[in-house]
Amino acid sequence: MGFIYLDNAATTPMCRAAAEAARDYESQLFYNPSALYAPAAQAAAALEGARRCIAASLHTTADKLIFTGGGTESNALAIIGTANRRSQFTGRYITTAAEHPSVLEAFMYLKKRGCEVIVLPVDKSGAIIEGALEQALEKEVTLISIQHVNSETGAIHDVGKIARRVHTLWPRAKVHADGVQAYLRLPAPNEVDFYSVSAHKVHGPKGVGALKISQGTQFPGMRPGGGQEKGLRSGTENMLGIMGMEAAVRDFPGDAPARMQGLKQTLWQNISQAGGVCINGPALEDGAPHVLNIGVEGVRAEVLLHAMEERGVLIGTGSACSSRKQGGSAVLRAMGLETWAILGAVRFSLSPYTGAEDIARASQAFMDSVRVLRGGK
Amino acid sequence: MQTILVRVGEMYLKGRNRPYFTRQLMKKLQQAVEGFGGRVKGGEGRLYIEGAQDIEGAMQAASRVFGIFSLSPATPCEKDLDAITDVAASMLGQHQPGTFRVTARRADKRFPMTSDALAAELGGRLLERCPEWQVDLHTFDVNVQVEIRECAYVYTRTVEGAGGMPAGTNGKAALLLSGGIDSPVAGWMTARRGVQLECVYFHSFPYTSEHAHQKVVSLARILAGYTGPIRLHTVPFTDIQLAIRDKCPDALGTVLMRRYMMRLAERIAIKNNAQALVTGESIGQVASQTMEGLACSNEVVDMPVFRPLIGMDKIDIMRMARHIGTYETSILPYEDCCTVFTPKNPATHPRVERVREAELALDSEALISAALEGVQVELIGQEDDVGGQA
Repeated sequence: MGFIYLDNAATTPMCRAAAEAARDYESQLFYNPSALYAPAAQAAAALEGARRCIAASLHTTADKLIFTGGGTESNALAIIGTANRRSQFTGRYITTAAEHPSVLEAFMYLKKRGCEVIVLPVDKSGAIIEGALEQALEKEVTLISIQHVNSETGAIHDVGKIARRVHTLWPRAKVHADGVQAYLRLPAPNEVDFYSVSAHKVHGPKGVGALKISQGTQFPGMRPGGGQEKGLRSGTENMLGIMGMEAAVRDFPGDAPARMQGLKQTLWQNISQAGGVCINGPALEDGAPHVLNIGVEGVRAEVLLHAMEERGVLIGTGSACSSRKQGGSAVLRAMGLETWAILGAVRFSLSPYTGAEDIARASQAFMDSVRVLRGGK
Repeated sequence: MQTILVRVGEMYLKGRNRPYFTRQLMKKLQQAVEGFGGRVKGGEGRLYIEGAQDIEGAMQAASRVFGIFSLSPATPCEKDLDAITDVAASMLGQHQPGTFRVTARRADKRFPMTSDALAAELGGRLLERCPEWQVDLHTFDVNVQVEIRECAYVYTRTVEGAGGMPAGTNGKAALLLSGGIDSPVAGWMTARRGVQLECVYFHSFPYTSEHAHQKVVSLARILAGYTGPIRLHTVPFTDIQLAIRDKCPDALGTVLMRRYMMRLAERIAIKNNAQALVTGESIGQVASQTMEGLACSNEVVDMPVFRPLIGMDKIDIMRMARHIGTYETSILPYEDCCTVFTPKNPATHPRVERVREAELALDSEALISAALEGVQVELIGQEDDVGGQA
């Protein structure tokens, strides 16, 4: 059964180029890049080629890019790694209430061990409440971590501007941005020290990602071993994944963001006619091009999701990483939305390969589902 | 090799039926420890599990068998004071030195010493053999216990069993099993009294997901770990819910839904020779569980309805769910049929006459027949869940 897949913020299907690159590597160039014979040197060259490519996509150079096991690991490496540089868990760490669990939980880990942790509140559009950041920056900061694009609402933070401000006030402070949702959809910020990306959100394979680091980053890796990836991530490189990631990044259409933004607006025009719906997050034109989170009155999100599934359209209800926890989305609750908008929150997320026809059919499925679920007496 | 001493529960209050209960218990116990190489043997006043290669595994499996009061891993030896002392001394040696006491029980009255004399003598000998230990009869770190039976058994550890009556010795009931916290606990409590369960689950496909169904399967599998294989009847419920929503007053939606669940469960119970229904209801917990709500759902069935949680607080039910191992599964947040079309303001004090009147708008018999035709039955807990090589 062919579904229309509109949950691309959860994960994306691997593109053909990525699948082929991974397969070719495994059949022809499976060697350990650290081995000494010529074919292994070829594998090492392929690895460095991929590193240059991904680095360029993040406006940095290959010496400042670490391959990891995905977004969660990149986030942990930057946040906990920075804390690990010190002999004790001290310092001030700042983040926002709307972060992905992999960031929030890393901060909770630091807090339990004695670090000072400040969680900035967000408003109904998902933006940091005015003044809160400035106030938090009055004292010296060790690390600040702010997501570039929120996975649930598509809210965008100007992390480049924030990084400039932080570095002006506190030159020694590190700035991390979770770029998993923003990657290839928004320009990567030059000013941050750390930037996390993941391959499977951009039509690459699962289980691989990267972390941009700043010049001279030194901290103990998470695990002892052979010292690969500058010692920050020991273990034989996931070549299959890295080759797939490189191919996916090269294959990602440059005009995708503008096209997705247009389709997103069409989608909203269509489905807002159901009435009793609101956008959870920033205004349409201010949000990321691929994410639209809406609240639907009088309908429970999961029930609506299944009703649309029955009509051949797959959508999300929030961060899949936390969808098994109860009480509605933590991000939407942090934004202070009304209860009905949280309980009835569904997320449409588009890909470069989403077409106008898909949006038309999804809109129809939405209207039909909502009509049935709200019932007409 | 160690033997597990098994103490049976209140079965011993039974009179002439006792052999029947014992047979059932031995059968269930044998099934539980089979995989650990254990053989169950009957005895005077105790059951024994012999030959288990994995004592801890066998203990754990046996502790889930209903009808067992407690278990002890024991080392058997000759009914001879020297032999007993050797075993007891080596057991003490496995603990950090501290304080100990000896408790003896002479079931075989041919043994020359009384229980007290044996305890005192053994205590004295152990003190000599293990000078780093001290005796304290009241606050002790280790209680060295000896039972004189067909042979002597020495042990220092006793683990609580699941209690209750052997599975299947007290008839059969149909459990209305949802994905929530309460109904698995209600099922467990009933099954513990020796009642065999048929589980009935109401599925609102497509509005509730396969995840929700699998969650109920997981809960049934946990219950089956105590009772042996359980049948799960999955009833398609969406059409009934839609009919209620479209044709009846909004506020009565929940109580009407409960009435249909009870009717359907009763039909399934009758068909499967069950004599009662079991629900996880507790007074006042939600809108449909007020006194009036319960009366409304109760009046549509003739069978006895058991509600073992009726007087329990939620916090107690949650504690019990953790104890029996269903809690972590129950809190997975998938929508279930009860939440699909939740009325905004459910009636908390529905009047029976109003409810009956509202129901006239529905073709009850047709709805029930259609739902029963779509019932799917699965046997849970029999299949070998272990992957890899068989």
